[in-house]
Amino acid sequence: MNTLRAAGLGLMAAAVLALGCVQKTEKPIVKTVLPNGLTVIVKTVPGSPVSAIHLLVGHRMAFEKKPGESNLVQMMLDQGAGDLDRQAIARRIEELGAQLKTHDNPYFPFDDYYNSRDFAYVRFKVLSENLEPALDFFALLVRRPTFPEKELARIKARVLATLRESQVIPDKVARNRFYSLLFQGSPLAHPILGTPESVAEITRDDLVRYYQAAYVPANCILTIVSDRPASWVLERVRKLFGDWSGSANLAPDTAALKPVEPQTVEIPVPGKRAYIYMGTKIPGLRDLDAPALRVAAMVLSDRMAGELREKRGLAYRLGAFTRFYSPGVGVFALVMGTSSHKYAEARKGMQEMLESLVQNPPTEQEIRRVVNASWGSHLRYHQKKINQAYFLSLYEYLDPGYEYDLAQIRLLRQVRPEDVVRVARKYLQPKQMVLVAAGGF
Amino acid sequence: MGFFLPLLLLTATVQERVLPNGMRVILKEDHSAPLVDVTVVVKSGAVYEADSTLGMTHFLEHLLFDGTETQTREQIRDRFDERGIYFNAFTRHDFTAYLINGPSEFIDDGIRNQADMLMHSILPEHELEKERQVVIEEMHKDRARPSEVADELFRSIAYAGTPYAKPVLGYEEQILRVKRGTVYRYYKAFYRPDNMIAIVIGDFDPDHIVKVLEDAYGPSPDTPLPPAPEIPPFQPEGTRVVQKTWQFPSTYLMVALPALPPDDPRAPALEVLVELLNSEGDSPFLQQVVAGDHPLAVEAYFSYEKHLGLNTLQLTAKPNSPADARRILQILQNTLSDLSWITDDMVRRTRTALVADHYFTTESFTYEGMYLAYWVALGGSYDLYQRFYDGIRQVSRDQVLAAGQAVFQPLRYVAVIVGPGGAR
Repeated sequence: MNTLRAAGLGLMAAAVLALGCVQKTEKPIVKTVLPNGLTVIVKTVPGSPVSAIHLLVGHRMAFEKKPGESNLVQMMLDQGAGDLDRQAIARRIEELGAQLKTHDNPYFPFDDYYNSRDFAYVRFKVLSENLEPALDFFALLVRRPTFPEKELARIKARVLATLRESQVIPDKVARNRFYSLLFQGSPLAHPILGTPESVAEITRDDLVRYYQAAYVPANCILTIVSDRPASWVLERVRKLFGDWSGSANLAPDTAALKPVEPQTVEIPVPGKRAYIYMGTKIPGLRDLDAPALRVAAMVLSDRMAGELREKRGLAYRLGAFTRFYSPGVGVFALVMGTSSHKYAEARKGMQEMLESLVQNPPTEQEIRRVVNASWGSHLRYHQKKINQAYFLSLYEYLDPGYEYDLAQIRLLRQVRPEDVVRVARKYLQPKQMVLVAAGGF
Repeated sequence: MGFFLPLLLLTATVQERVLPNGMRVILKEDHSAPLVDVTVVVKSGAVYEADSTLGMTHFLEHLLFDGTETQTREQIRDRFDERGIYFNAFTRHDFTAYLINGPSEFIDDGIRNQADMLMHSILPEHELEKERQVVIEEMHKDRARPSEVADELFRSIAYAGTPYAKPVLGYEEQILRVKRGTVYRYYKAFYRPDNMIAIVIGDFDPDHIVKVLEDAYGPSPDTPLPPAPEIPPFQPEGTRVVQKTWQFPSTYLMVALPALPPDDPRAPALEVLVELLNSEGDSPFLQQVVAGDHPLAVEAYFSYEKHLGLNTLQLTAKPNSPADARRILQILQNTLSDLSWITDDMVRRTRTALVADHYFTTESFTYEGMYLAYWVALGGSYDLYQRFYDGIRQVSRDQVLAAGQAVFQPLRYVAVIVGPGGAR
């Protein structure tokens, strides 16, 4: 795979300077790596009443012996830490004027936006006036969790109930199988919640072992966006995390990079709905083709909405997306939720849309429209300090570096119609797709 | 540049102006991101409707996306999409709001497009039929949801005699019958600049943006504005419990108690009190109702409902049975008649959590615009909105107890219990 290595950070810096509107909002960002291997990114937003602390824990599935361990560790982080029990943690969060999020809430439909099979997160928002005690508290939560047995039983029961429900929800069934086929042999194939069997077997000892292996400084990126100068923040971080020890011993995930065989899998799930995933592997985010692939997904999403939903009334939910992962690989996929009796027509429609990228190439105007929409969406997400912290962490983790967050819009605006056609021919042949459908066929 | 009357310079970055066409404009500069949010509040909602125009406001909200004198529906949408502008609208009892949010570089055209929709829509006949079906489908969807059915039933009983008894969506038979001419007359009566408030938040130049707004919206007609709705105060005599049955297996309990208007100096303390009642760790009500080995309800929460002339404290609970709903009412009375369980520490934590939550939500210009829309639609200003949230920071335990005394002594409420057939 050709990569952006040669261009490196120089391109990113040039992109930032070339973008007047980005330059205007640019804030000082400092990155450092502590001697123990912890990557720390600090962004200063003067006057912000809200501060954000974000911890990204890498390669979450690679440390699992039993699928679901990572999710349970995340769910247990606020159940006990140091001398604090669950209630004391909840009270402390209130006192600080804070919000903590460590995992997806399966009962909120769009809560899984930040959920990844590649890394775990701890998202912490707090009133800036309380940032100093909040950092102390945050360090306690992530460095001294106690995983109390009685809370584990309750949390496991909740996960098992969710898993039982998920078995009859077509989109969850299809998604899990889709990724397990795409990443066969890689830890990325693990279902995030685990399976009913694996979760039932997980003990407190498993969680302690997992935590000690995954929560080590060299496997983490700590990002803080606040109103304080970087020097102040870094001093606190060194004091709280400087003596954090442990090392991550991970073999490279070569299985994730293996090409995937095209195939079709249909999974019967009772009901009148069907959910379809159609996709394939693509190169990682550093690859020179990544911007064109991202634009191709945006164009497809737009076309699917106009043609398949508005004109043909085929879907209640649909779209196309790209996702990128740390081993240097990505996924390009189209998804659609439809009524069971429209399944065949919906599937055919998705294939037609994919073919249309080559047969009916996007116009300059079409690309401008989707890239501008992406730019607007980018700005909206970045209004929240916690999302600023999240995206800086994400791009640092995925390797282009945190600067990519600012540079990406320029890369997307450079994509031309012929680039989209080229990557569609190269990576998105309908015959090369993995198709997974779940529902009442 | 036109002539503007500066009303009040609230802070260095927030201004309120009135344009020559009568449109009120609230301008909050925030240059932290190259983004602008414009929320246009129209003083047109279910409470402004006559019996003959029930549901019209919501129906109209749908129709305003369907074409203007110079643009088709697709052209309106494309114009927003091509500029990365998010657009949406929502209808409430007290007002209708139309919002756009997009990069500063494109916001002028976004405002022109939004103004074209609001001022020059033609409500094409063929789109009317399509939207009629969409609205009716929305009603059917609501009718399948117990929470929506319970809410509609509750409103019709608790707020009988006020415009809040009516559903925002209106009634199916009326939407099926309504003619284009009726909708158009309603549209022209309410959609005029002097009946609108624009809230602009983000990265813009105030003088420039008011010029764009004035040009885009044009003059207001010389005719008088529609009259303000008359809303009798909510003053139940004593306690009243109404029990009904329905087709669903679940039970709902909904209770309305009279509350303070948002401009009352005690309102921030009441907000803290409501949040305390909602705190699973602190509220003796929730500890008895939803916690423990045998909870009486799967869910229960309080809300402080602020409307034009109608302000209530509302409890919504999902009890296990109508009998448990009666037990919950008893616990409610006991909890509200003696607030000595509230401590200084609880008040301190709760007000911090409320302030934090407000800051977290309003980090987004869109959400701040939506929050402000409620306040200005109720006759408030940015100043009142700011004072309310600043007030929460200062609330003491004594003030919380005083607010409770004002609202709960004597205890008056209307409660509606609805449960499966067979119940009384």
